[in-house]
Amino acid sequence: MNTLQKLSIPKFSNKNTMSYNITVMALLSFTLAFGIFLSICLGSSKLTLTETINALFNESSSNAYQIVNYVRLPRMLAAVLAGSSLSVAGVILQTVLNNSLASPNVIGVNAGSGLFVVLIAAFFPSYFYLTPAAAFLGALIAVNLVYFIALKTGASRMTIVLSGIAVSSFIGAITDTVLTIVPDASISRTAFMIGGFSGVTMEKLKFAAAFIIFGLVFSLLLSYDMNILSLGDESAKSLGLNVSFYRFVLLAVAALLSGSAISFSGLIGFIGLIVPHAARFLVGNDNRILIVTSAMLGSCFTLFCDILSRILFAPYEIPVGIIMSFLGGPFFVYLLLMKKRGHL
Amino acid sequence: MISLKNVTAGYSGREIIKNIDISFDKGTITTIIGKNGCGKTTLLKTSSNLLKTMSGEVLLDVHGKNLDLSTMKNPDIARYISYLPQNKEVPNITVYNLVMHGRFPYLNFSRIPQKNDKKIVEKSIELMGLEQYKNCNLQELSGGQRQKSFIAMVLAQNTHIIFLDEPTTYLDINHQLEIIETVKNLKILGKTVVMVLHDLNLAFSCSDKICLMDNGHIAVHDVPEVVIKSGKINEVFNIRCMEASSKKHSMKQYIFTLP
Repeated sequence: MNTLQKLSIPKFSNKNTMSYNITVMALLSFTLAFGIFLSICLGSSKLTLTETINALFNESSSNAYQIVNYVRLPRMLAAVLAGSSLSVAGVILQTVLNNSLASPNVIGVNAGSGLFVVLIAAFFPSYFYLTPAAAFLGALIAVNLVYFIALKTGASRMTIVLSGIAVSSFIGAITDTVLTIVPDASISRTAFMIGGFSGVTMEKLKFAAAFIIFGLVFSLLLSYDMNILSLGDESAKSLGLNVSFYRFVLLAVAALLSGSAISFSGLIGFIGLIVPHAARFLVGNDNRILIVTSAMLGSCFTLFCDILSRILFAPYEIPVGIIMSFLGGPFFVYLLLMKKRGHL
Repeated sequence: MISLKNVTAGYSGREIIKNIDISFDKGTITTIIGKNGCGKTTLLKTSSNLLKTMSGEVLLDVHGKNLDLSTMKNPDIARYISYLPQNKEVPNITVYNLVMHGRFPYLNFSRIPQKNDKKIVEKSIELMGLEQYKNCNLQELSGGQRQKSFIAMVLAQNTHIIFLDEPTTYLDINHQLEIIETVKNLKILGKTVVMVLHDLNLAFSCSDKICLMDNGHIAVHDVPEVVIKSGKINEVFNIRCMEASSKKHSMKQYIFTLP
């Protein structure tokens, strides 16, 4: 039994009935809708509900229209997209690598896409629209490099994490070098490293959103195959699954999802680690349900963190990455304690 | 029928089984026995195409044609051959969902099980006597019930040839006998069963043929009586084998001691 499986305690898995899953999803949908509503209504500028609704549906040159359509709407969409994509990327990585510690930031995906985002900002700023594609490429290279090293060294759970740390650190050094020698890079180093949604525009989101939606649909289509893969390589292969091919495709999908999110949100904390665990805690290990639940839970969590980041010290704003780590860290510890497992 | 022709296989360039020639006939139970590390699992994995051969070929008889396994696609092989590994991940899913995984080779792109798949899954669960556990989580079950669930998955895969790697290891005697009984029933259904066992008495009592392996080679492959008479058991395991007869039971039992 691997750690990932041990972490989901059996007494919750009995709730895995259709009606329970539907209830969980209905509650999450409601919370997400409420979060979307709050995200559009709340902010450092105080707008009434009527002003906000008018601004959403009637084009005008008013301040309210500008704020709602050019600041709040893109931010809301960015939070929903980044939350869902990073969480689903986490689910995929944890399943494919059979490692409960795997997440985009732990195994080098963040670092890889971060480097390519920085390269675009430093050397090809006029090609900013290529950022999501570059982030995907960076993530794909990094995740495959980590997996290849781990494979060569035995592919145990620990070697994957250790090679992830090594690759991340190496790529991080290249990123830092680029940012040091090109100080005028059109990217704020601190903001990018912490992650956040301030300054997100529809223009930036457009390309990434297409990639993310494709990635989410594709991962949902492969969710049953992921269930087979989690039986272990030998069982999966004897059931007819082309294990190496599916593993590569799924790693590519995870890279696509996280790379696209990182292209506009920066290196958001460890959402890809904690949300899949929380979702597994709620609905168990069936990836067909888990992927949808993780996407919704990740969106809700990111949305509410972003709302907090905007209103806590308004008119000043704390980057959402900080709020996520402040809330996510203790929550993850709480999850561990609830499961009565002291270690991963 | 499945046959290996002059097969050499192993891991990372190291040969574990060498120049193996063996056939597993339709509707028979063959048990592979031998010391730890002699290549039993490697032979099983190579026969089921989980491990590529270094040389030689594995031929599968499909409607009278001998097809080379290495040229067949995984899903096609999975409709003819099932393999239950010794060490398995125990997923956090229900027994029913696990058994349904056995239908994976037959599912179309939507991966939605059809009526027939559900019927076969229910039947497999019933055959293994797991009806009362079908909605239980696998991790909540005992080792014996888990193993029966995995065998139910193999039954649902509904293949002609079944490879079982140490299906009775770590199980209590009742579960061991239950699993051997299931294997015998599979034979009645016309399936070819090849398994690895460490319990020699179990192996001799249920098998049509015994394949004794020694250091990557087949020492003897024949019916149990001939294998016993050959004296190879004593030689390979470095033990003494004696027949214990019982007037009540016709079944032969053996006692093994150090020489």
